[in-house]
Amino acid sequence: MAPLLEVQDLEVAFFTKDGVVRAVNGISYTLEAGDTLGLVGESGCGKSVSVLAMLRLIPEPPGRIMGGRVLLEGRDLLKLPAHRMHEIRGSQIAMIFQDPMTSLNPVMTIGNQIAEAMQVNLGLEHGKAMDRAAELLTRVGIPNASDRLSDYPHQFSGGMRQRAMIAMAVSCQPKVLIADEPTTALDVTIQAQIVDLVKDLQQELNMAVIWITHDLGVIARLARRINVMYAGYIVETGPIQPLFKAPLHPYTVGLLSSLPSLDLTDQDLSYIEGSPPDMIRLPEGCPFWPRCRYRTERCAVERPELDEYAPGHQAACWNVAEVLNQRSSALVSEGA
Amino acid sequence: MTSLTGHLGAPVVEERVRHAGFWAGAWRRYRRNLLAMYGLVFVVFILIVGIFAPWLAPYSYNKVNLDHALEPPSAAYPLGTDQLGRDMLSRIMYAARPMLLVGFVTQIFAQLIGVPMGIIAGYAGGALDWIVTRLIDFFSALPWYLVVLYLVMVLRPSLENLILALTITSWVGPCRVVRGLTLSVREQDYVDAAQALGIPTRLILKNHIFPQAAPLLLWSFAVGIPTSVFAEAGLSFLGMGVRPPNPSWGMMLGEAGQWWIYRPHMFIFPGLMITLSVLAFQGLADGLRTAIDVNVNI
Repeated sequence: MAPLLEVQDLEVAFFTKDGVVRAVNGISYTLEAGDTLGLVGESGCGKSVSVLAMLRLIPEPPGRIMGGRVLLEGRDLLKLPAHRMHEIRGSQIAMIFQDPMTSLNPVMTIGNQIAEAMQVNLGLEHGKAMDRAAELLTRVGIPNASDRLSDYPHQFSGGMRQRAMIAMAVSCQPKVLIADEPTTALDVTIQAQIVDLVKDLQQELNMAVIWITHDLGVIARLARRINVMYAGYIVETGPIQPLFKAPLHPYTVGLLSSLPSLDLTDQDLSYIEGSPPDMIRLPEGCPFWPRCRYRTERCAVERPELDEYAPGHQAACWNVAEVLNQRSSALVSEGA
Repeated sequence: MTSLTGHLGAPVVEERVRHAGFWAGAWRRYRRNLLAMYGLVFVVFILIVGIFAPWLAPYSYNKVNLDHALEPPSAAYPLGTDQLGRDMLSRIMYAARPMLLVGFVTQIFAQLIGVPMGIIAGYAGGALDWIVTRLIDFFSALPWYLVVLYLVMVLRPSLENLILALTITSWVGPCRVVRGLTLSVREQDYVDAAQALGIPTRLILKNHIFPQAAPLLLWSFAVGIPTSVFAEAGLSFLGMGVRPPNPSWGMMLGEAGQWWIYRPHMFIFPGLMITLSVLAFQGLADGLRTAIDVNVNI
C-alpha cells in the first residue's frame, strides 16, 4: 500500500536581490497514517519552508518550488491546480502555527474563526458549525466553551489560544496535521499539556503528525521517526531510539550534546562551533563541513548522500565510522 | 497565573476579563475632542433640517413674492428675502439637501469603487497592484477641481453629473488607504493560518482583511465629505451644479453677488452655512481619526 504522504526530492528556492536562497534542497520522506514524524534543526534550516511548500503556501514570488513531488494518497499536490488546493488545506492537511498570539485574527471571535473552516470545508451551516466549535473547544480543554465562543483572542491566554488553534486545525478531521513549533511561544508547563493534547487527538482521529521543532526534549516524547535537517538537507533520519542513543551524523551528535541536563554542574554547556552557512552561498560538498569536528578533505568537495547504516537509520556523512568509533572509545574511557 | 494554579494541581480557572469593546473606547476618545463634538452636533442638526425641510420650512423654497423682494431679516422672514422675494430661511433649509446628497452619495460611490480595488490590489500584489498604483498616481496628479468643472461642462450641468464627476475624482482616497492597510494585514500570521485552513481568498478578504479596514474607511468617508461639499458649493456658485430654481448655498452666494453691499444678509447666511458645515465635517473626520487610532489610548 502506498504511504499516506510521500515527499520526493522536494526543492524550494527564494529568488532575492542578493541571490538565490536554496532553502530546501531535495528532501524525501514518507509518512504513514497515524504516525508521527519529527523535523528537527536550527532556525533557517528549511523545516517550515518544506512543509509550507507541501501546502503550496510559499509566497511566490520570491519563493518557488523548484522540483520534487508531494504525494498525498498517491496524488501529487504540486501538480494540482491552485483552486483545488483549497480542498486539501484544512480538510486533508492542516497546520498549527508557532505563535498563537499572532495566528488568530484579533477582530474575529474565537467561535467564528473555528466555525469558518468547517463552514468552508465541510459545508456546515453557521449554527451547526458553532455547535461543533463549542464541542471542539471543550475537547481541547477550554472550560465553559459555549460561553467563550463569543470571546475575542485577546481575552484568551497564550495556552488557551494555542488550544483554540489546535481546535481549528483538527476541526475538519485532517489526515495530516503539521505542528510548526507549536510550543515554542508557551511556558514549560503549558508545553507539556499541549504535547499531550496533540498526542491524544492524534490517536482519536488517527492523524499523521509532522512536528517541527528545535526542542529535542519535546520531540522525544512524541515522534516515532526523526528527520534532522541542516541547510535544507536531511542529514540524518531514523527511528527515535537509535537516533538518540547512537547518532550517526556529526551534526546530530552536536545537537544532542548541546542539550542541557539537570545534573549539569560545573562543566560548560557544549555547543556546535561556528554558525549555519549562508544559504545563498552554500559550501560545496557537505554543507556542515566548515563546522564539523570529523571533517576530511573529501567533505569539502563531495556532498554525501543519505546512506543506510542500520534498518531505517540513514545519515549523510562520509565519516560515520569515525563518529561511531570516537563515541565507543569515549564510552570505554568513561568506564575506565 | 494559569501555569501557577495548574502547577499546584488546582483546576485551572481562568480569570475572565471583559474589556470594553473597540467602539466603546473609540467613543470615549471621540468625546474628548471639542471640535469633533461640535462637528457631530452640527452634522446631526443639518441632517435633520435637510431631511425634514418640507415640514420645517416656513415657506416654499420657490414661492416668488416681488412685493417683499430684498427685505432684510424681520419677524415674518427671519433671514430676509432674496431678489425675487423668496424666503431665505426656507431656501437655506432646502439647500441642505443637495449638499448632503452630493457629500454622502459621492463618498458612498467612491468607497464602492475604491475599497474593492484597494483590497484586491494590495492582496494580489504584482502586476495588478502596479496598475492600480499607477492609476492612483495618475488621478492624484490631476487638478481634480478643473477635471470636475470640465466634466460637468461637457456632460451638461446637473446634480447627477456633478456627483458622477466627483466620484470619478474621489475614489482615489479610500483606494489608497485600503491598499496600504491590506499590504500590512496580508503579512499577518493569521492570514497564513486562514490560508492553511483552506479558507478561499474571497473569504479571507471579506472576513479577515476588510474588518481591519472598516474603522479607517469610516474616517476616509468623513474626510472626503467636506471636499465634496465645497465642490458642490463652488460649482453651484459658478452655475455648474444645482439648477435653479432649486436652492443651493453656493448658488445663493452667486445670486447675492450684485446686492451684497445693500443686502449683506443675502450672502452672510449661505456663506455661514457653507463654512460651518465644512468645518463640522472636518471636525468629525478629525475626531474619528484620533478615536479609531488604537495607539492613542487615552
